[in-house]
Amino acid sequence: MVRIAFPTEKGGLEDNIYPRFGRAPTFTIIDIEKKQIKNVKIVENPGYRASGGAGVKAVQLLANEGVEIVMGPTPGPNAYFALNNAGIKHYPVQGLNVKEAVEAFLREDY
Amino acid sequence: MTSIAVTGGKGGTGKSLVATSLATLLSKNIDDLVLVDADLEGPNDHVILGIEELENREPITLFLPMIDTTKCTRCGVCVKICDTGALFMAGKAYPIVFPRLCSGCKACYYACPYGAIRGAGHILGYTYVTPVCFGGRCFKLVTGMLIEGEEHTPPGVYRTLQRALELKPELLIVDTGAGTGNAVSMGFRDSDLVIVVTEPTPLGAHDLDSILEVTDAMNKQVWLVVNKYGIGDITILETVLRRHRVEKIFHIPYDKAVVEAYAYSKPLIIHYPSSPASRALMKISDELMGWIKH
Ligand code: SF4
Ligand code: SF4
Repeated sequence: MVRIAFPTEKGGLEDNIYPRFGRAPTFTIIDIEKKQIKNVKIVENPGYRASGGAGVKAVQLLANEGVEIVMGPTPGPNAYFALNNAGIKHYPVQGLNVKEAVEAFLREDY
Repeated sequence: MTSIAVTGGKGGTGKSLVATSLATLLSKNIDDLVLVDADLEGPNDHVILGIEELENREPITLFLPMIDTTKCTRCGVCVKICDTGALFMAGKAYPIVFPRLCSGCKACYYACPYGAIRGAGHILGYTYVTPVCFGGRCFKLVTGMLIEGEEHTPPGVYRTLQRALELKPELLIVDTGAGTGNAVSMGFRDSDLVIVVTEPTPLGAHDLDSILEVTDAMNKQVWLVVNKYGIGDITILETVLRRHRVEKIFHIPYDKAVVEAYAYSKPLIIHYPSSPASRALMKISDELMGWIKH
């Protein structure tokens, strides 16, 4: 199983990937097992309302949720460092909705 | 002590020209005058005044947590309490610190149940105190400057103002940062008079509106200086002024000497005393002197 997170607005498979990493209102977290979508979970991003350090707060949430991969726009330098520290991989994707991004991931086309 | 703040919108309205000129002119009559350059992200009063080197440097230090890994139980309390995102913990690893995000609030230090957080200094920037003399009359310039990339302007502004107050001035002139954020309003929170510098352009009008909203809310006495009068369209400012309280309005005409003075780092008031802009500044200074005495 692999757990992937996507920055989103309302969240869910049909929602578009949010163009800003740390400031996304929600993250849609998806478990993939045997090339199938297992669980879909939507969590609020504490970075959305933060006055500063939004990216790091977002990564803290992802680390707490046990996320292994995040797909979305390139994070800022602080978030990038936090992702590396937590061992979370980042795959850049933009302009897709979550479902399309999952499909791209399954085709290993990203 | 009397305290005057000079503020403006985004950079380039002439805020620093007004602040430095008024300090130079008023120092003829006032012995202990301190000019504070509180635009920590890009201080330039010394450039306008032709000062080559700032003096009496002191670091602005902030608390920065250091995790004592011999005591830390990795409980995560500090990460939860930090509201700037400066602490981060991956799984059961020790917390790590992002110095650039830390505001130095010490919340983590007080919250750690195991006394595992020690304080270390984090240098945010520097303050300087430089004597400035023209024709035997002097004042002191206090400059605050952030290290490039630092994001915590408000504590830096606070420390710069503190350093100026330690000099116990009779008159304090604060040249605030650009814009209307927290770091800017901090510059005029304690002032008796706010001089707002603007220019007759749509952007100038927009910024003026937001500044006057803040000064209205703080119930400040406001004088307005319209810089580069003669270019642009003065009527756009009038619409804004109808909505706010402004006590006096001055005009500084558009003047080539201002550009020349800036390009050669020669204070306008000293090197071009009879230029139209200098005369306008002298008029403001005279009125201010009257207001201070009063
Ligand atoms: S609160 Fe103290 S003991 Fe707990 S993780 Fe932070 S530093 Fe370690
Ligand atoms: S001092 Fe304040 S801002 Fe800095 S890490 Fe501790 S809690 Fe966060």
